[in-house]
Amino acid sequence: MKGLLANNLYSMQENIKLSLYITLPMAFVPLLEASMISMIVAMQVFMFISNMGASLKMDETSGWNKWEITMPVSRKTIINAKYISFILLILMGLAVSLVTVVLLSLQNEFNDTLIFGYSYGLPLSISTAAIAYPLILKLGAEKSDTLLITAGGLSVGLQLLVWYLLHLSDSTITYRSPVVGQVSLAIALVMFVLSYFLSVRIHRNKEF
Amino acid sequence: MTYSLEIKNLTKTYPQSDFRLDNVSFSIPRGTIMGFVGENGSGKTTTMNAVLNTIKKDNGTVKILGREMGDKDTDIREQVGVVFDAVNFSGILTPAKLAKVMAGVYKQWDQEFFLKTTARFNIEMGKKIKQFSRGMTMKLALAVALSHRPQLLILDEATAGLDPIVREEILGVFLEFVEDENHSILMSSHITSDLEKIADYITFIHHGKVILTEKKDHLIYDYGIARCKAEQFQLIDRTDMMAYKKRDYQIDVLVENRKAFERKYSGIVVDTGTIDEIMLLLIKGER
Amino acid sequence: MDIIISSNTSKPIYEQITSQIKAMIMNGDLQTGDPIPSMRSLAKSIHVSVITVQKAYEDLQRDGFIETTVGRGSFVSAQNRDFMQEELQKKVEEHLNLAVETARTGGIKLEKMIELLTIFYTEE
Repeated sequence: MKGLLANNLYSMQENIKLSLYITLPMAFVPLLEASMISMIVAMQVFMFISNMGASLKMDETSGWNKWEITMPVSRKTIINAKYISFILLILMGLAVSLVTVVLLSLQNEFNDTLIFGYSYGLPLSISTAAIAYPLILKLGAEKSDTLLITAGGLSVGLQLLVWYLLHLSDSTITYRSPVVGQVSLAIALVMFVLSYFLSVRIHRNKEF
Repeated sequence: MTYSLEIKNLTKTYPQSDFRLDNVSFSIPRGTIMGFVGENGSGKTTTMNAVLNTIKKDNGTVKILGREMGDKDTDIREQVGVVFDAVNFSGILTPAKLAKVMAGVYKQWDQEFFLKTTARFNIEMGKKIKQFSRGMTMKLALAVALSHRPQLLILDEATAGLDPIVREEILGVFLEFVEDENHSILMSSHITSDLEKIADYITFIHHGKVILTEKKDHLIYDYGIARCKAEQFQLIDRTDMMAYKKRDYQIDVLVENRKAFERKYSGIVVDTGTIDEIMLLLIKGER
Repeated sequence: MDIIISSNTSKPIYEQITSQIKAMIMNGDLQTGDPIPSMRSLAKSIHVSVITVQKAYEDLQRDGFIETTVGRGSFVSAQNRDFMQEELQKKVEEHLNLAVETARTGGIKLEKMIELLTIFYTEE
């Protein structure tokens, strides 16, 4: 397990670096324009996980996905390592977003749009990973770009759907209401767990 | 005799393809090297994949070191070193990082041995694997496969595309590996001259079927290819020929015992055959 | 210990190994009780398959040139004198046969041959 995690992180290293180069400078943007904070935070949270496709593709073309099966680990362990890596990526996004928040708090210019950044970015990241990975497993990593965009689109759609349904019951609820984020987050977490079990099953029957 | 690998009636079919593994059976005695030969698409890689569980077999049994290996039997996989005909590892990693990955996976990972082997192969530890030449990639894969101290090596075209000097070096490593009489190797290769040097047994596979498993020395010293004229060919007992192929001016006949054949049919020239020639007759010849 | 393997002769590799080890024993390079390399290390050193060396060693053992004990390896056998003698005599016979054939075709008489042989044998 330890080795598999190390491999996943090493193989995403370049993407992680790239994500850092993009998201860290972003942390300064709200200093100039405080209203941007929710968008920046959402982007920062989402950036790391959105790069997972590149390393998955590399693992497929190099033959690692097949070689991995011959190692003394069970197929389930391989999937465990993948999902832990996804969680780590999301945590990295969160960590960078905290830099943004801290920077802005030094200027003492908080506003309540911040929470929207998280309630939008976090469910988006989690459900994108949850939708994309089983699809990539099933359909092949060479399609990972398309599949990630699709998963991202579906995730956005899901949040809109959540808002729409909530809005039907209570017309005061807007897209930016915290409850939309909370419900979306709950759904995303459930999807992530379901996605894990689905991936274990797909991988168990997959031939390399 | 104990076997490192026993394959019995291994069968695998594919829904969208005519190709199938058809009752593949052969065994590798402990301490020996098995050469696995056949054309492209004959089923070598599929057999190896089924042995290693990267694909699911339909039928048959595979015993590695005496036991059938399921997904949970990770202890058996500790004992099996594998090199596929690919890069095998993520290109972004360096050998140094790869070693850390392996140390985190294999209980028996021998870092000292890995460093020794990579140094011997002149592998740069800090260079990204994607920048390696084919030869270097293969040598790295071999170093990794050996460094977790396996008892069985399964190598799919591990010497393909390498220059003769590197191949000779690698063959030396294989012979060093089987210096321990518990160690065995299954290796597929198109370069049959390599197998002629180091293999103890050869298994021929064609269209998903094993057509022959034989001691290599038996193949190259005792088997023979009789070069016959048409009228000589008429006189040969069918049971004395394994396969034959008509050419413009002669008929080549594969015979199992060159000397006995020469005694029985005086006047017919019988050459010793290379593995390539024998394979050609077995595959392309008539029976 | 030197063993030279040629791939350009029709002589099988195991025979090349046996004949060279026999020669070393007969000319005294290898003495009774001397260890000879293990099959697997010899296979590695001369880059041939293990089974080939195994066959050579089995032949050597059958002919009484070497003994193999499990765990201790192979040694030059003590009782190989008779076999050596036999081997040498076979060789002498071969050469004499050749000489006789040459003599016959050349019309050289038996007496002449005996005379020559006596001279050669007592020369030194």
